[in-house]
Amino acid sequence: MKRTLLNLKIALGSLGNFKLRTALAVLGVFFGTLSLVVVGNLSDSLALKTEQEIANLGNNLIIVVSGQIHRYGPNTPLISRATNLTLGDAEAIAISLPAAARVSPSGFKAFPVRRGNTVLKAIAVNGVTPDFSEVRNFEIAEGSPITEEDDRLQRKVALIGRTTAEKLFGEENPVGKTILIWRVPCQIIGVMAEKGADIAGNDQDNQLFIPLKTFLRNFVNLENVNIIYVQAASVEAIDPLRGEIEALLRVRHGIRKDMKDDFSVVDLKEVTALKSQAMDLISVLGRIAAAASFLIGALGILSIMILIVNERRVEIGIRRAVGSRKRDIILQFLMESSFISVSGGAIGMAAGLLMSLAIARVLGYPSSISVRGLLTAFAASVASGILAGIYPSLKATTIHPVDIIRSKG
Amino acid sequence: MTPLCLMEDVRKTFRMGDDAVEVLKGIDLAVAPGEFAAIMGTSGSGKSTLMNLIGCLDVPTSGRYLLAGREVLGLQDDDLSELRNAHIGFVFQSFYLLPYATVLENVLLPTLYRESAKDHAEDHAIELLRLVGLEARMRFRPNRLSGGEQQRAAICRALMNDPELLLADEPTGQLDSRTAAEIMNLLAKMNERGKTVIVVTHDPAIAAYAKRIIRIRDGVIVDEQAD
Repeated sequence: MKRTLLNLKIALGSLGNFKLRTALAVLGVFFGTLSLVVVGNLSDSLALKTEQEIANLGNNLIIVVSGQIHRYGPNTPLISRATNLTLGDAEAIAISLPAAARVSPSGFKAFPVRRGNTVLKAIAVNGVTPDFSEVRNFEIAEGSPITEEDDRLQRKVALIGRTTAEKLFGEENPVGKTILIWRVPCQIIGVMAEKGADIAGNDQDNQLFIPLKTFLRNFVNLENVNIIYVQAASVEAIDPLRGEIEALLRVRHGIRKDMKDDFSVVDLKEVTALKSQAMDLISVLGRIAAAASFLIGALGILSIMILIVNERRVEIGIRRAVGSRKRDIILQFLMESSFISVSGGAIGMAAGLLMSLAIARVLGYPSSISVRGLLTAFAASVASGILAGIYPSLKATTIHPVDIIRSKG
Repeated sequence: MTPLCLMEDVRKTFRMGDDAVEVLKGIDLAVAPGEFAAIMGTSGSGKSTLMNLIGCLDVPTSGRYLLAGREVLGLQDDDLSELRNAHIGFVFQSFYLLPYATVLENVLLPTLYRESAKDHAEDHAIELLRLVGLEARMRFRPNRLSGGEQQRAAICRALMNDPELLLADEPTGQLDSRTAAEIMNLLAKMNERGKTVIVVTHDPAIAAYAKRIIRIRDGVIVDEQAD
């Protein structure tokens, strides 16, 4: 222990002569661990978020959207704006497929919303059926839900998301108040429970829900919906039900065998897979950046250690003369090189933790600390130090006391 | 009495490319415990090589060398390290104290490589520093010490593991004559306390402190005289 401390002190004294190089090497390892920790934590955050998302979206949920989802294109909107699904499609699914426990068609469009002098330019307005809150796990915090009667009578009532409510009403209770959606005055009958951001980072609390029929007649004047949410009776029913829905809709839409579907049926696994593609890319890039940083750090350490070994030829000779074995010298310099890298690694780990917590916060993801990421980062910093130290420490053992004792004889 | 160092027909050949240069050409030497000897010779006489062999920094090409009864020829590097650590204290012309360690830490250096490092090593080191009058400076870095003080600290380092043999290579080469006398007196004092001291020098005034002078020329011992 004493020996380690003394060696460390001597090493630090010696490193003091190469401050800039040491700083650069430490910086390399710093960025390496930083990226590893950030990538690890964010991947974990995303996994957590995905789980939450699946629970949030609704259980055993199948989503039918109009148009095709281009799965691998960049900037693909998940949900097409085309509206070739009809209320009839939804009814057909509900009636003819017993595995479909609940069917909730929905339309949506952005409209300006106004209350008094406050105008919000584009708030997502969703036309929904009473089943909606059940199927999509949207709970009502205050007030009452949209009922069958509201829908049938095309009542001008609305449920308001928490964020929208705060924007329009501040601290006031919005229930019972009337707002102007586009040019239709609607009475607010309830406030939704907070839901947070979805996996794409959209605030799910910044929207309005009105009865579907009200939406179709008074807002878009269409028979068509954008999306049909289908809740399968069980997890096992999801896959067969998807096939049944596809077959049914192909018939209803008159799609021949050689034609492509004009709709897409996805389940949540696919939705989240799509959304996490971007994150996977970030992950890969982060790891490449980490590898490059570690390489730079290791090369920096290598060059410093070579300098240091040269500077300390006399010290090595003396140590050998007073009885250190070659392996003591190797160990000493390996410890020095890993000390350099671990100190960079420690700062990198701390900064990485802070940074990933901050990023998770900004994205609205649950913050998560990946122990595996931290351990990988630590191991990588130790390993880069040791690897970088091998050659210089072996070189150090070639220094012999006889070389430094220059008596004239 | 069994000699501490016993050399019989020791030869050392260095290879320089295709040439082989025989630097030591058959050395017979016995140094008994408690002796104070000086090895004298001019530049190129082979005295440095002889010192390296005595100090187990190098091994003979042929011949026998017994240090404290142990055959040195054929020992592995690690065994030589252990032998140096246990039996020999080195004093060098340029002191060779580690610049980033304190005087006390420098004195403690040999204990770092001792398997059975004693708990009271630090007390022992302080005691040695007190003996040479450096107790007040033990927390200083070596560069704050004068040459003579640095050499005294180096002698403490050499004594730290309580070796039988003190091997001093031109110990006063960088010191003025007054300081040189101090250092030689210190070595003489250690000799009186029972240490075997071998000084390698080209300076007759320094060699005069020794009780026995071994002269070496062209790789052989040419003359021996004892007081």
